[in-house]
Amino acid sequence: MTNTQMAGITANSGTLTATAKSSGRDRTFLVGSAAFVALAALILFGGSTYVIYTSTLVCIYGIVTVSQEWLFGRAGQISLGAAAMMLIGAYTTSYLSNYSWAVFPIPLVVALVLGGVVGLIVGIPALRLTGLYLMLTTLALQFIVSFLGQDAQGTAYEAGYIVKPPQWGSLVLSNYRPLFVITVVVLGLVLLALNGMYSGVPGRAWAALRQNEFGASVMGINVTRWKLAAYVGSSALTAVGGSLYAYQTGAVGYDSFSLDLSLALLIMVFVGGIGTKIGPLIGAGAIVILPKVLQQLSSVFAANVTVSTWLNTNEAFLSSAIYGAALLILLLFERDGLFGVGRRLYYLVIRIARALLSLRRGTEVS
Amino acid sequence: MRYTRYRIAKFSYLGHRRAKRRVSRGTGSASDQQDTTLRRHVTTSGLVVSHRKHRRIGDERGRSEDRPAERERSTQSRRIIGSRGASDASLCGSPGVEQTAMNADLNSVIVNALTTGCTYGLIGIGFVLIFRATGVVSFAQSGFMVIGALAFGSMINKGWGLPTAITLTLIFLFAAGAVIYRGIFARLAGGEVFVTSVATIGLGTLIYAISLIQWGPATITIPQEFGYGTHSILGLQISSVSLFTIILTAATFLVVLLGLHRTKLGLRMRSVASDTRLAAYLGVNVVRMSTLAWAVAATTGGLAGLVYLIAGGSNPGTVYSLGMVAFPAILLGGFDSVAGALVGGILIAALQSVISVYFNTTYQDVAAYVILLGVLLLRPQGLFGSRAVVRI
Repeated sequence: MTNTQMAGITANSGTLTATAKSSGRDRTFLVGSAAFVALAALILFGGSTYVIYTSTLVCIYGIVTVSQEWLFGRAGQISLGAAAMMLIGAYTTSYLSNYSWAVFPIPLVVALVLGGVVGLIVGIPALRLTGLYLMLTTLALQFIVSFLGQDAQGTAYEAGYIVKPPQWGSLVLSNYRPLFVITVVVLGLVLLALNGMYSGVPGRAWAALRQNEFGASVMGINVTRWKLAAYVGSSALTAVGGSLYAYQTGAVGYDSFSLDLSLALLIMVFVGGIGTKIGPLIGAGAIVILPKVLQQLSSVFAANVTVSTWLNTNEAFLSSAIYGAALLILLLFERDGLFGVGRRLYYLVIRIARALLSLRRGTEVS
Repeated sequence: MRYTRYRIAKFSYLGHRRAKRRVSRGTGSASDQQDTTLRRHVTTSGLVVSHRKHRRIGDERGRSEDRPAERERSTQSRRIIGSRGASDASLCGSPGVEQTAMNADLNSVIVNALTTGCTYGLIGIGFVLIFRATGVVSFAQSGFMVIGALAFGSMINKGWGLPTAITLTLIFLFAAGAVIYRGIFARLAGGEVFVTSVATIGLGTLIYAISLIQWGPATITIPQEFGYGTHSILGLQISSVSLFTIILTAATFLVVLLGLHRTKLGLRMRSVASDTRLAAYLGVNVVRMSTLAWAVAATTGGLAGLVYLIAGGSNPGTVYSLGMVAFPAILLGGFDSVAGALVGGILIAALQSVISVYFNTTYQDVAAYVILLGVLLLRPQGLFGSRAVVRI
C-alpha cells in the first residue's frame, strides 16, 4: 500500500516538475543524448567485434523494450505478444531480402507498416474492453503467429528462413559495424520520437488514461483510440526490432520468437523500470548480458567441477529464475525497477559525499 | 426464475431460523410465525446489516468469528443463486450418457475430452478463486502445476506410495500458496491490478525455473500404479488413469463448490469476491480469505499437474505449456465461475480432441486460441461469467 502510494506520488511529482522546469528537462535531454552518442561512438571505434555484436543485440532488444514500455508504462496495457510482432518483422525481412527492389530501408518500413496493421487488427477488438483483455488477446496472437510460423516453415525450412545480407553497392550492411550504426540510429530515432510524444499531448493523454480510464474519458480523451494508438505504435516498432534481429542473425525461425521471449521481454521492461526512459534500455541490457555473465561464471568456477557443471546444466533455468526473482523483489521494494535502484544509489552517494565534504569543512574551520 | 426465488427464500428462511433460535436462546422470546417472519427477515436483514456497518466502520479486519454467519449468508444469497444454477448443470451433466455403441475414434475423443477437460478444470479452479478474491489474473498456475507434478514424481519414484505422495504434495502446495500470498501478493494488493498480474508472470517463471533446477528438465516416468486396464462404463471404454483423473476432478469440484456454497468459510470467501470492502466492513478477514484462495489455487494447480503426470508421464515443458493452454478454457467458462472452468475446460478439450483425432494433432492448441479470440469478440464474460467481469 505504502509502496504504491509512494510510487504514485513520485510519478506525479515527476510529471509536475517535468512541466514546471522545462529548462532542467532540456538539460537532461541534452546530457542524455550526448551520452548516448558518445557511448555509441566509443563502442563503434574502440570495441572489439564481440562487443559490437553484443551492443547491436542490446540496441535491437532496446528498440523492442522501449516500444513495449510505451504500452506498459505509458498506456498501462499489458501485451504478451512482443515476440510474435518480432516474428512478423523478421519474416517480412527475410521474405523481402529475396527481391532486389527491396533495398535496405524498405524492409524496415514494410515491417513497421505490417506490425502496425497486425496491431490494429488485434487491438481493435481487445482494447474496446477495459482491463487485462489485451493480455489474453496477445497471448492468443503469440500462439497463433508462432503456430503459423511453424506451419509455414514445415520440414523444408526447419532451420529457418535465410536472410540475404542487405547491401548498398559493395557495402554489406549486416556486417558488424554498419549494422551497429543502423541499429543505434534507429534506436536513437525511436527514443527521440517517444521523448517528443511523452512530453506533449499524447503523453499526457496516456498518463491520464493510465491512472483512471473513466476520469480520462470524462476529460474528453477517447480512451479506446489512445490505447489503440499506443498498441499499434508499439507493435510497429517491435516489428522493426524483429526486422533488425533478422539482419543480425541471418536466419529466422519461429522457435527463436516463442512465448518465453515475450515473457522475458515483459519481465525485463518491468525490471528495468516502467514509466522511466532509461529503464527499458537497462532491461534490454540485462536480457542480453545476464546469460553471458552466467557463462562467464561457470568458467570462473572451472576449478570446482561440481559447481561448474551445475552452472552449465542449469544456466538457462538460472537466468529465468533470476528474472523472476528480480521482478518480484523490484515490484515489492522499488517500483521504478533497476532505474529506481540506480537513482537511489546516486542520491545516496551524493548525500554521503556532501556529508563528507561538510565534515571536512567543519574540521578545517575548527 | 421461480426456482431462483425459492432458493433465496429457502436460504433466508434457514438463516433466519437459526438466528431466531439464537435470539430465543438469548432472550427467551421469539415469534414462531414462520410465514410472516420470512418476509420480515428479508426486509430487516438489510437494516441489521447497516447497523453492523455503522458500528464496525473503520474496523476492516474485525474478527468474523463473533458474528452470525447466517446474516452474511442472507446478504449474499442473491449471488449464491447466480452461480448455483451453473454448478448444478455442470455437475449433473455426465457426458457420454447418450452414447451406447460407438467406434474407437469417438470413444477416444470422448475420453480425451473428459480427461484433458478435467485437467483444464483443475487449473481453472485456482485461477477463478484468485481472480474472484483478489482481482488478479494469475499466470502462476502453470508454475504450480509443474512443481506439483515434479514433486509428486520424485516422491513416487522414491517409493513413497501413491496416497502419501499425493497428500504430501498437496500439503506442500497449500502451504506454499499461503506463504506466497502473505509474502508477496498481500503486499502488492491495493496497487494497480496489471502490475500484480505481471508479478504472477514473474512468480510462474521463478517457480518453473526453480523446479527445473531442483528436479531437472528430463521426462518423468512414474511406475504404473493403476496398471493401464480399461473399464467399460456406459458404453465407454475408459482407462484406469482417465477414470482416476475424472473421479479426482469430480471430487475436487464437489469439495470446492460445496465448500463455497454450504459452509460459513465459503460464504465469507464469496462475500470477499462480491464486494471486498463491504465484506471487510462486515468483519470478514479479507487477507485470510485471499490467503485461502491462493492456497487452494496452488493446491488445485498442483493437483492438475500430478494428475496430468499420472495420466501420461511427461516432461515439465509440456506441463508448463498446458497451463498456458488452459486460458481459453477458463475464458470460455467465465473468469469468475468455478463450475464454468470445468464446463469450459471440457468444451475446449472436446474440440481439441476432435481436431486431433479427425484432423491433425498440431492444430489443437492453436484451435483453442482461435476459440479464445472468438469468445473475446462475441462474449467476453464467457459462458457463466458475470457481466461485471468485462470491466476488470
